[in-house]
Amino acid sequence: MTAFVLLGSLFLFIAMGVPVAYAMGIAALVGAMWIDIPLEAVMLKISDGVSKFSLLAIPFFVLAGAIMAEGGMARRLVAFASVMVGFIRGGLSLVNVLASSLFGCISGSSVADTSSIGTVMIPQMERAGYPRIFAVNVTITGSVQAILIPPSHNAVIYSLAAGGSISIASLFLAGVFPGLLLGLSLVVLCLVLAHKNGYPKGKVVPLPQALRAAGEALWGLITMVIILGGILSGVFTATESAAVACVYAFLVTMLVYRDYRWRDLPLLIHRTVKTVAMVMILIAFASGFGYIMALMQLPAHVTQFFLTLSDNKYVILFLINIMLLVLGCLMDMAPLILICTPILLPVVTSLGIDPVHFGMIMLINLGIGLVTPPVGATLFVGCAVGKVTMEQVARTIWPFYIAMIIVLALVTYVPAVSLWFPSLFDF
Amino acid sequence: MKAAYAKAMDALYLLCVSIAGCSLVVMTVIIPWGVYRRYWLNSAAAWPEPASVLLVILFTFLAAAACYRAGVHISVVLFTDALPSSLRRVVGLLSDLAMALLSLFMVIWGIQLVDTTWNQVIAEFPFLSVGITYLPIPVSGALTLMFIVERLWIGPPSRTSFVYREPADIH
Repeated sequence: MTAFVLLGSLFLFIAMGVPVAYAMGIAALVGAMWIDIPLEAVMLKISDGVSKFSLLAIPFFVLAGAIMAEGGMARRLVAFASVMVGFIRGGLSLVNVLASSLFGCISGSSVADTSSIGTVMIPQMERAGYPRIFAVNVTITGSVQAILIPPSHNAVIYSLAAGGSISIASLFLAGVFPGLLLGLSLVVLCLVLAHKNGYPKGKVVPLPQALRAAGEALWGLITMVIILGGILSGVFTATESAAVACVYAFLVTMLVYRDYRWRDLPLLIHRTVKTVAMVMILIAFASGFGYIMALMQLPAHVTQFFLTLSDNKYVILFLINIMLLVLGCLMDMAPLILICTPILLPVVTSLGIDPVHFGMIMLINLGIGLVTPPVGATLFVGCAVGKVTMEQVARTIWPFYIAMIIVLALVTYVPAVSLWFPSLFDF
Repeated sequence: MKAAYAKAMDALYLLCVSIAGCSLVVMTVIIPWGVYRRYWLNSAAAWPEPASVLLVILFTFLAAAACYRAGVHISVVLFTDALPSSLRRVVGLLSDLAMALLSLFMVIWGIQLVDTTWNQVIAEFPFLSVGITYLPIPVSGALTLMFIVERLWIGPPSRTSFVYREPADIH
């Protein structure tokens, strides 16, 4: 009954259109009153939720990504990707996927990736003779790589939702191969579709131009070296590396690229403040919600429930995948990570599944949710940038969904895809 | 009267995002400064980390109130959109009232928390009370309440308001 009160009030307020963060806050208060916990304690937990140094990595990664995106990084990465794969049949679709992989190394956000890469690539692909809807489908599914490839701020959220016991560095490393695998599956699909539909071939870029494009893109890609290199060498913590990456991104944008005007910076900060605050307040209220959930022993009850269904971990993972895919279609990624992780993590760990591996499973599931109707932030942005309707996308995107589901299955049932790379660094 | 209130809310919104923006910039500068001191000056500073934590609390609660006014909080409109328009308005009103209730809780119990902890000091900053750490909660609750009153009484800011301005608008 207590669990019903907590979860029932959460879903009721979410369905009423109350912002998810505040719905979690209200549900926590309702739950606290139900089990007679002082509301002051809930307020304490809400504040404690954001009083963690590791959490600061989120605003810094978002800010670094925003600076790079506004500073013309997407255009440079597209130019560099064109050098690499533009000359192949269907080359521009491959350029789109590769640019997303590279941009993911900087932004860590699928939505930012779609708006930045899509603005450059969708018109370019259409001019070259690709159907616009195909360009939109490639852009939005390609952008899901950003959620997996480090630095993913969703990986930081998962680490926090798991109680901070999972190292952010191990999650970053674990995301490399699933991200690349997703990119590879989309590349294969694009090649097949390009040959089947006769999409155009690009030209080989002359060497001097290719070197110039590589040089310009390199400045941005060093951001990833700072982040991963700093963390793995032990020079920085994840939060410090994110802050240093911000300063570096700012210096490269303002002093090297010089595409951005100083007077526009307040607007960039304004947008970043809004983007970051909606994630941070989610974390704050999720902390209060998680506290009440733990007092009600909800995760233990859910674990028991799942184990009554089956004690086969593959069956449980299959059921969890279905559940996350459905939830991902209905709700945004960050709130789902914060709500589902404390509930599902005890279930999977009781079956011997590595929490880092489960993190990757969750990120891919919810990443697919970002590009599925009816609620998909990346899908909405892709439709707006590509000027197509959601129905058009829904009718044509199926081959891309199949490719993503295959990758999800591989990541779910072959733990080495996620865990092999971190194991090289003793994580 | 309505125009004056909306103008006051514009000013409050600007104050919230300005303080939050400054907090973000300061955090971005002091943490690399801490790294610089540790490696290049061989003198680790203890204050950047706790100072950043204080700033992120301030940032979160002030900017969250501003986000309510800008209408950017993540919410699920799937179910409310499926309702007939008259019912949707009623549910929208109930949703705002639920938000108001939570904000009121934040004010009342937030103040109690500040009061309880006011006489303790932060270890790294002995001149600061622990109560300061929790102060952004009631402040955020009060600000959100004022923005809810604006929404219910006047409506959301007009679509041309600076509240919605994006960097892309100026290029």
